[in-house]
Amino acid sequence: MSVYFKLSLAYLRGQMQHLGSFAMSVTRNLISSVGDALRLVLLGVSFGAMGRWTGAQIAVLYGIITISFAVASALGAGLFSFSGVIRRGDFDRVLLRPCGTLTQVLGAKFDLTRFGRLTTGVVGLAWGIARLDTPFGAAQAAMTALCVFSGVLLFLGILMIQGGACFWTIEGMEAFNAITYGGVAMASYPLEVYKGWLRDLFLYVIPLGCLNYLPCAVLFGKTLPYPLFTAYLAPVAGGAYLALGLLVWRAGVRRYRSAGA
Amino acid sequence: MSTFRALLKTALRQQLQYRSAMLVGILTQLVFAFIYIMVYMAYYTYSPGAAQGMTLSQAVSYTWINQACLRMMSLSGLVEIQEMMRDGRIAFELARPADLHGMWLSRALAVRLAPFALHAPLTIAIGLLMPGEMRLSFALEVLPAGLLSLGMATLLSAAVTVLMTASCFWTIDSNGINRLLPMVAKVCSGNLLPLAFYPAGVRAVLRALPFAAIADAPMRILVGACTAREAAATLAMQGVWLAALLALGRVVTGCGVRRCMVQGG
Repeated sequence: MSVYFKLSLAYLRGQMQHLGSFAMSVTRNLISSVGDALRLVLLGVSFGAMGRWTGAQIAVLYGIITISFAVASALGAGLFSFSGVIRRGDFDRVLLRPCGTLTQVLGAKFDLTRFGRLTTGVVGLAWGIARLDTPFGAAQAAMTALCVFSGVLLFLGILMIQGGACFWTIEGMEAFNAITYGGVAMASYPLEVYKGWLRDLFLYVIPLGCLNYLPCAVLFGKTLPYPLFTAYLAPVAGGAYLALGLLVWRAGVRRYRSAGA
Repeated sequence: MSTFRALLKTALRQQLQYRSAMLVGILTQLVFAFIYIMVYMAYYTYSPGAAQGMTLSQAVSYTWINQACLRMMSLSGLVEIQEMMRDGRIAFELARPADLHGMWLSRALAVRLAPFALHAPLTIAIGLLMPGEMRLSFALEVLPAGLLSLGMATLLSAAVTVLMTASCFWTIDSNGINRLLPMVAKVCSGNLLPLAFYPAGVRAVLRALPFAAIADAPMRILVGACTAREAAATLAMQGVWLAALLALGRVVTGCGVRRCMVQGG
């Protein structure tokens, strides 16, 4: 753990050496995230509420999923670009060092520039909570925090699977973008909006719905077509995906054959 | 013309080199198309009549066409030329026995058309085969106008690409323009969201800008979300922007070459 902090700190210090470029990267991340947020806002302004879901409630859904993904992608930035490490044969050096592989890969790149997305997520969540017409006290706040935390674990798990998959193939890794970015875009709305197969995919296979849709439906006093306990499955989903990610990563490392010299 | 043909062939071959990336790109576009379409369907079900000037079927078709043409309608400079400007290899480009502006325009057109030619057919076919409300349907009575508009949009996109490239004669660094303009364009063009969903005042302003001429204009005509008179006005607007931007590109490239200093040895 201490190695991880040292590595991250070193990377951060490196980034801070070029403050101008760092500021620009944050701004770019922020603008691209503002674009996504703008889509939600404009649709909300044109159409108003989405059936039984008010604009504020949708903002809370958006906030939870966006913050989770922003934090996870900052922590796991090394996994996003992991195919390059494999292609160049740099993973040999990682294996040589007397320290866990995941610690090194995650620590090598703690990417604060991804916090641009965090900003829109926090603004969305705060705006949504302030405008809710249902009570929002300490219990609800704790539940929201738990959902965000579970979301970070879940997305980290997905990123580990993405990184681990590079041990098998480094082609077509962009397909994971459809799951991560696509998943965030999708889970920004109540899942009941989507057709059966797409909804089931994001409830049972990649359980993003457990992070915001199910718990929020209960928080906002809506009837769910699912049993009540499903609203509290967020930590289970997050933990399960993190475990799955670790398994894939381990299996991948064992399978690694160097491509470089 | 032969220059263009050669450049187009190269661009196509380049695209075909990365077949898995291409397939994944198409897949990602399909996923996003499904998400957006289902969100629109929900909004139209709950608040029918909220969006003026666009029916659900038109919004769905707009999304399919948008996802199919995304690579053609999004802006970026010619990265390889911009790198040449930075490291001095631009001297080779200047020495080629062809008109520089014409050559860059051909290059930009090839870069825009190659991914379009390979991506669009599959996405469009899937859109046409979807059942019920999710089906892509073209407004057949104005199809020629729509295709003409799409052609002009492609030329406009290439003209802007040349301008973005030539701007590096002054700035040398391409980061600013390559990163900022595409994002502005995304919001203003209809690539982010059909302009029909914007507030009326904003929409009127955006429809007059060249960004909308690249994306919203052809898509609106193709899905039939405008009257014949509006379609004619839109085509005229595209024509004016095209002439203006091509002329501007010619002037800017000419000025740029005159003040260009070859860097490096």
